Amino acid sequence: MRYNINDLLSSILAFELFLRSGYGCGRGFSEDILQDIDGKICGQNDNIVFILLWHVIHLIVRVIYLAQEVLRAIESYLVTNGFVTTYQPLNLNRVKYLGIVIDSDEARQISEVIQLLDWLSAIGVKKVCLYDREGVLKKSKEVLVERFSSAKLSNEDSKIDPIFTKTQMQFEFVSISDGKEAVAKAANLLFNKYYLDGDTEKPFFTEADLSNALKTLGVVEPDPDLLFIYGPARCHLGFPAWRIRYTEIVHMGPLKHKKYGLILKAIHKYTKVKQNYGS
Amino acid sequence: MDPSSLTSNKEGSQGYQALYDGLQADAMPKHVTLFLDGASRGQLKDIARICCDLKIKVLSVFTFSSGKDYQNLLMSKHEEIHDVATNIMKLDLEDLSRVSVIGKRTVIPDSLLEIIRDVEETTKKNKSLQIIEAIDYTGRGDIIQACMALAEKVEHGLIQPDDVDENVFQQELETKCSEFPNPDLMIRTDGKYSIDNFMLWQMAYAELYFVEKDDFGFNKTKFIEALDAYQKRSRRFGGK
Repeated sequence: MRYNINDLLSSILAFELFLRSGYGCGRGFSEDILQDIDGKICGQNDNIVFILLWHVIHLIVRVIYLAQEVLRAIESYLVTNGFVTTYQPLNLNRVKYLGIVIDSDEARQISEVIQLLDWLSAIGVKKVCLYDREGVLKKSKEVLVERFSSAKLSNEDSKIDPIFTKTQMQFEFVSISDGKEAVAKAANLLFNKYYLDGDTEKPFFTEADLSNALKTLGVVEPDPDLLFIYGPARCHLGFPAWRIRYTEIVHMGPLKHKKYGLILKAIHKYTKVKQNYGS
Repeated sequence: MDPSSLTSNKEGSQGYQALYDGLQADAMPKHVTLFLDGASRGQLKDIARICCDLKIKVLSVFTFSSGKDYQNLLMSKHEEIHDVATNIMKLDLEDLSRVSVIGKRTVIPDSLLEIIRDVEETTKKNKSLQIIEAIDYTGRGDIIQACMALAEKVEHGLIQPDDVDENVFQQELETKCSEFPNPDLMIRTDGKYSIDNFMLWQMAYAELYFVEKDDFGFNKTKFIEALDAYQKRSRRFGGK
């Protein structure tokens, strides 16, 4: 009997490790209760029945979260194909400026970028800031601007809801040189203007001074309201730090796995957020 | 990996050993930033203990306030920082935590400033973990004060404007008090998805981990989950 329980325990542990490798070491409120028991139960090596029970509970929790992931994928499919209309219509007044961060390797797949912008245009987003660290998107600027510079009516080839019509989009292309480097250059401008000449009054720099200096360098766009990150890492990859004080940041996964439904959901969720802007 | 090999304290934290299972010692972040709401503030002591166990070097903390009265805000901060520092010194660890405070000290009352200096002085020799508390700190404000610090150096001829680059700029930010000024992992616990003007410069390549808010609050289990998720991600710091 003891030998059989050991076999069952080993199988459950192996399956647990498999789930843990994909879904982390545990989520949600259930873990908070379970981990308090863990130290007591698992320390008692002789009490195999309790250990088995503990791991069974662990397994059930992990299966629940696996099911949640599957449901999320199904939801995205249903929204994308128009079966679910919960996230329509969108109040795009709150998304005046959308930022998109793309991993530079993924940005080289220009067809994927064009499809993403196609979807955003159909949703009605008008101003987009495109960022990748190495400036790959900057090199594709002419192609993208030319494609989206004129208004188009519904695209029959697209699976997008025909109620949406594409809108003319304005782009800003940004790379790492527009981030920390730009701030350092702006600081140099201020030093040259106020601190090299011994006669002029030395001001105490304010945010307005640095903002004006950045404008002199060509940084004139407003802060993005919402920032989508496409790439393997949940990191904004050096997007100009000065401009994302209160920007909502959403990681969307790899660019090749983008989903129209998830974009709608993310924008809809943002439009429902109450922002305190630091207060 | 044997969870006990992760810990610097072989005896203690037995209750946490099961939590550490699955984490990799060589992939641990050096600097973790926590955005804590008021409800989760009480968990800071446990999280600090976990950081010591897992050899995380820096834990920077940004606490939200719900009150708009500035004096009440400072008093609550006074209680919080004194409480954190006191709790840290009561922890049964061989190497205790070093507390540093960043933010605009010019607007903090003298009584609170004295407490801050006392805590910083008392804990400065501790080696295992540095806790950076942010009081009246903003990311843009930090960049501006770095500008002013460099401007003074330019005025005194210590540096030329053209010599100012990213590295020189970084050394003037308030996080210069730390050996690891740039966060590797940022965890926000209140269900929001922004960085709220905190360490804007420093978090260029930080992994962003946003926790959905629930009735049970942020706790040490969720902190371990965040570390686990961090270790599973591919980080290239902008490179290939």
